[in-house]
Amino acid sequence: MNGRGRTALPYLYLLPAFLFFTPFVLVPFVHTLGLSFYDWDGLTRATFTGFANYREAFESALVRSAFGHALVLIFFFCVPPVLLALPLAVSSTRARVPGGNALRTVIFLPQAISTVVVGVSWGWILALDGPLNAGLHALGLDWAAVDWLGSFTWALPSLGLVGTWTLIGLCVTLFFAGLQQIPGSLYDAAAVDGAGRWREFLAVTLPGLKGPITVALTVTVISALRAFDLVFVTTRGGPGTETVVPGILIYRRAFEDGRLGSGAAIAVVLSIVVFAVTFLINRIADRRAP
Amino acid sequence: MSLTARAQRCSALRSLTAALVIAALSVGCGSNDSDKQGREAAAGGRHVLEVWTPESGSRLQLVQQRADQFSAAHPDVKINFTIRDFGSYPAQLKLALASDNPPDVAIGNLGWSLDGPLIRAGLLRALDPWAAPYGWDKRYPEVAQRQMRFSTDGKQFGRGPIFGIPYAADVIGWFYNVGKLKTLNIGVPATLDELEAALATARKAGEVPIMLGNKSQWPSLHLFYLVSDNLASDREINGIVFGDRSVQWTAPSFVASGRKLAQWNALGYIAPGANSMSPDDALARFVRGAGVFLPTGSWNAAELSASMGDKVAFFLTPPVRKGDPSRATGSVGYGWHITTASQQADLAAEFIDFMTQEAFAIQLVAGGDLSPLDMGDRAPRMPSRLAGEILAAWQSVLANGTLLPYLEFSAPNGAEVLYPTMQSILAGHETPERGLALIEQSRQKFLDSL
Amino acid sequence: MTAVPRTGTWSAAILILFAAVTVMPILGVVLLSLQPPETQLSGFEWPDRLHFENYARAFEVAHFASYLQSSLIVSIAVVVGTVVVSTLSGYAFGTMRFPGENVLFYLLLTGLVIPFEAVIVPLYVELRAGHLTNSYWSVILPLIGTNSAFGTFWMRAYFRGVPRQLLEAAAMDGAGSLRILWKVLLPGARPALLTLVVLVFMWSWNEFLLPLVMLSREDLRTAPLGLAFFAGRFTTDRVGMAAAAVMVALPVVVLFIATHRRFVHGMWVGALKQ
Repeated sequence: MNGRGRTALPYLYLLPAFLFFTPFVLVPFVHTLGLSFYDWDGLTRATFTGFANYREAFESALVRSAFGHALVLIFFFCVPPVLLALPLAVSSTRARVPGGNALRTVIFLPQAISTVVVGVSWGWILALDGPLNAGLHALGLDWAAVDWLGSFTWALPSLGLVGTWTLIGLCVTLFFAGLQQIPGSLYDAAAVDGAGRWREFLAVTLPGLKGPITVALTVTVISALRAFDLVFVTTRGGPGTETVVPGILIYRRAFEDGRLGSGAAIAVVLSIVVFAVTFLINRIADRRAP
Repeated sequence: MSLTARAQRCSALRSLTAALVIAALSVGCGSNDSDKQGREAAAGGRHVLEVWTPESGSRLQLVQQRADQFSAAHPDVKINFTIRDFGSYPAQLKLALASDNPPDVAIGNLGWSLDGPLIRAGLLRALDPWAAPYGWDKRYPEVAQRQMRFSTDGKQFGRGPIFGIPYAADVIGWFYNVGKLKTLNIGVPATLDELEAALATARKAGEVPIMLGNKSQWPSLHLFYLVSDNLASDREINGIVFGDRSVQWTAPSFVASGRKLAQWNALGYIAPGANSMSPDDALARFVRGAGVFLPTGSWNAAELSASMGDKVAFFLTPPVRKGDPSRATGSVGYGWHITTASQQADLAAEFIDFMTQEAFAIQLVAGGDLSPLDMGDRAPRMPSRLAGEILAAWQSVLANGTLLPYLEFSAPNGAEVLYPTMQSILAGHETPERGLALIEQSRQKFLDSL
Repeated sequence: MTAVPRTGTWSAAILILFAAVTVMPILGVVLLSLQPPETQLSGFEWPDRLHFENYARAFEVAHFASYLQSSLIVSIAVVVGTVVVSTLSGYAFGTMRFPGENVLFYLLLTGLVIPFEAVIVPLYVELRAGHLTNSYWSVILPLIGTNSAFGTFWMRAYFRGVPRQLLEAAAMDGAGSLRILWKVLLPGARPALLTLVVLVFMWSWNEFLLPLVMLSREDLRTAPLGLAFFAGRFTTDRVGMAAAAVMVALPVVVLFIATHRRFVHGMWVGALKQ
């Protein structure tokens, strides 16, 4: 439209966005960085403590296990949804199922539902006397009917599977949209080459979905790293400390224990992890050029 | 542009404007606290006392009724209550105390669980100027007095001036299903061994011996008390609570208590699914007939007797040796505080005195609750047999001097280490030795920070 | 433009299976919400009759009328704010060239990646100092902030895809930038805008951490918050909890179902622009 215009016009258009973004996102983020070097209870004066909060975070078994738990959640939130969504999206593209659109909508629904609703609902489903166990009893699998969210072994994986359930729909939608854009000519060419379904998938479909897969991985990993809502509403970090994730620690330390500096430090570490992972995923995606 | 398109655009614009206006108006209606308080104070030169409380249910009603009586006696004084649920109360109160509109009076929780950090931050007043004139230092039994005190530098719990005046009390014990005990042919256990035998009998008969809702994690700590009260000495328990470093969580008596807890779990005495059951849930199930024993505090008495009438009864953990007095964990719980920021400290003191006089204690006890005051013969008629049993238990504990403080008063932030580790010990997920060592480590870090 | 369908039945079966697995928990909760009030249900069962009064109870007795209203106010305000703000900035990023545009864009993009947990603590302190906590603004303003990052990204992608000739023709007609935006570009941007509206409404309605920290007053609580506290206090009222849960989820689900065709189309269009 314009050449390298010297007007202030573009900046005026940007102003509203930055007017909201800067004070409510950017500035607080910078503040968190600063706050992490202090010890503050939110009430009295803050004392400068340098890297003490970070040192405590790295030395604390609890903080380390929180990130470890996040890693477990990353697996569940990321891998099954992407792996399951691929055949689903491919199926729904091929099938021209009547009502395929409706089915895809249904699969996306868990994304539209508030995580609090998801947490409350699954809290009931996974209860010792809830529907899942009732079903297991009905199938004669009494030994498998455990207290899922109260078990030191199964609480975290259970939450992971809830995440899988929530995110499959998003991945299906992304992949479905992506599949629409793969030129039919590529498939025709593959057919001419005599490629079977599997080879066609590897040679045409998968590379063509590189973009959506990258987005899916990024979104699901970030979801896992931030999983505060789900944990807060179901287990609050229990039993013991088995489902404590960084988000829970940040909230508890900053808002319940009066250790805002420590909460800030953990938040900074979390942000670094999120940035790093996002960067890595996109880097790897770029390298594997189609 | 076509007419319809223009019309569409206009209506879109109109609805947009309407939405913005609605939003703006509604936001205006959701005004914040400071406005409201400002408006109230301005109302005609009256004194307004801002009071914060975490109470609920029947206790809250009694407190408010009593406050109304105070207002009636002082026409120029209005009492303004801010009520928050128990879970959010500590965080919310801290914020209110630090804000531009702090309350005059606040109910706190003794020890480090809530009061400690507030006193350290200089937000609560020492009550000595009023303690002697109102006789607060004489009103309460000695064992309760210790819990009311804190050093002015906020480093020592249990000594120093009085900071909080208690108005209610609680004690932890064993509620039980009368019918089930009879069916199982068990009498009320008189020794710890008899209690364990009763648990075994219940289990063998297919009942759930101990109904426990441990989702909140602290119930396992209360179960721990019911054992450690007997196995640990006064010096050990008081030492932990009041910051005596020569006493540690890793003492053999505590380890033995933890071991017994783990043992009970291994023997199947604890309700299945306890870790995902909330305390309220457990209570509801007990009322509906699940579980023989429900270990919990006297604050649940009113609800239990309302739902179960004479089908529920109470006893304190029996002693190790038959005939010895029972030892029980309890406290004078919440206390009234005057905030440092208050400009109406004298009025606040008068209010607090009124709220904690014997007249109120009588109302409380008549409702089935417990009071920290020793009323002797002036105690009113009990509303239920359960209330009578609990009052008798409380009075015996006071008389025998066997009231022990809550171990969780010993440090703040129980949710980080103390509660989860106790849950792990109970579930057998952590050995008592390792778990208690972790708890002690966290306690040492806290004491070092003082 | 896709391959000729080969094994239609297999594909259909997989899709239907997954849809069923996805919907079963949802259906279970809906069924639970229609059971007689005091039921302590174990499995997925069809109720004897549909007890809609559970919803009335949640609405009145459990204050959900107030919670839903709060959520509506917040979500609408955030959607309006975000759409306006994002369209403007997306327009600039998408059609104009100016120094620093890349830097500014990537700066805004960090908003997509910064976790809210990293922002919430100082944000709370700031807003408390500004006496905005316990008012809807404390939730609306930050949400517009974060959602504008995504919104800008989204609208920029759309505007970038607009043919140059269209813009140049309009410019030659002497139209100012705002007129071009309003008259030329926006009418065609409906799918993209609709998707943005749906997404932002969904994210605002479902937001939990921010209201949890900012809104402690009962009368300001948003629906997810109300549900969380309700579930925490009335753990034994499973039927009531189910009804409340359905009520909290319903508005977004309805919106989503009503717009799903356009929504998917919009996502497709948006995805194309990458």
